[in-house]
Amino acid sequence: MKVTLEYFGMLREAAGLNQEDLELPGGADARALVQSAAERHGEPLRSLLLSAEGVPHPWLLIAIDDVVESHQVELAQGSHVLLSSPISGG
Amino acid sequence: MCPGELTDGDRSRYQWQLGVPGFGEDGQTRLKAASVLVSRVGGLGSPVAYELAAAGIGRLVLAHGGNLRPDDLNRQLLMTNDWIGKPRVQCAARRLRELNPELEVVAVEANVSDTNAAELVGEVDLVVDCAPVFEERYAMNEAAFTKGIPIVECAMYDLDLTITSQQRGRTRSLRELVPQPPVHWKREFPVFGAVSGTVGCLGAMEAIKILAGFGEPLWNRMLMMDLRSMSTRLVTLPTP
Repeated sequence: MKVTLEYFGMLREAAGLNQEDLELPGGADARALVQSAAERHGEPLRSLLLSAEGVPHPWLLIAIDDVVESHQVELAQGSHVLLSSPISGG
Repeated sequence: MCPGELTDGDRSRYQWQLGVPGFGEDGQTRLKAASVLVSRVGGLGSPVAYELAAAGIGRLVLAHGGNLRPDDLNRQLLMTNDWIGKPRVQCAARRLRELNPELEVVAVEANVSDTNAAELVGEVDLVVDCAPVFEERYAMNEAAFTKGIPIVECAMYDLDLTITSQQRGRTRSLRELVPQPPVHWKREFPVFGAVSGTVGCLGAMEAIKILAGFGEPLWNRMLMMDLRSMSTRLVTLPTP
């Protein structure tokens, strides 16, 4: 299935693009999408997305069709996923 | 005259906003009676505090440690070049009093921390979180949740910004959304003053809406803006 992944903040900077379409197996969850993006782009994006064990960081915000969901939620064909790492003030 | 009651001077000063539907004299009276903690008063907190002072908030508590540096001046709009080397928060207080002499300003020459959060939050009705360090933000957010008062969470990076509003029983807390500080977040990051100014004005507007009781604050929603492409998303957050 095809999903659209949009990057926000420093993730966009690390990925070098605003958004991209990714092909995933049917039934894949948000965690698999993050791992796929990390594998596709490598560093520095990988470290921003995954722990040393290859698991998505717990602070990653994943909004699927504009609703923030858990990392285990199943994706659907045509899902739009917004991926963000928390930012702060100053 | 009761404390917080509007004077003829107030009606004259705030006439441009008294006509805003849903606000009116009742909203202005609520602002006049309100006390807000802004931490810190740098790139983001400066426009928050300035807009709240302009709008007629009764009392502002400003918490910000350290002295003004030349590299603060691209974004910290309450600061002035002649103040370099002196406490930032005193410059902010001076500028706010110049704008609105009726405003009560409490200037605290320290950042919010675990040791002072309960005391600082304890004396206000609302908090606007403009701090760069997650430990500072957690301390402020947890104190606001303990007291049960609203907190507006503002953030920025590069040309991006996010803003949401939180309150115990109504939304999740900062720590529930961000369970631990992101290891890659750095105290210093790229940003324009126009970006911190944009999210600061949005944060002030959130505070005004919440305190005056009108409009639709960002409870359980996060506004995310990319000013590079001028794209905006309003995402729904998980509820408590």
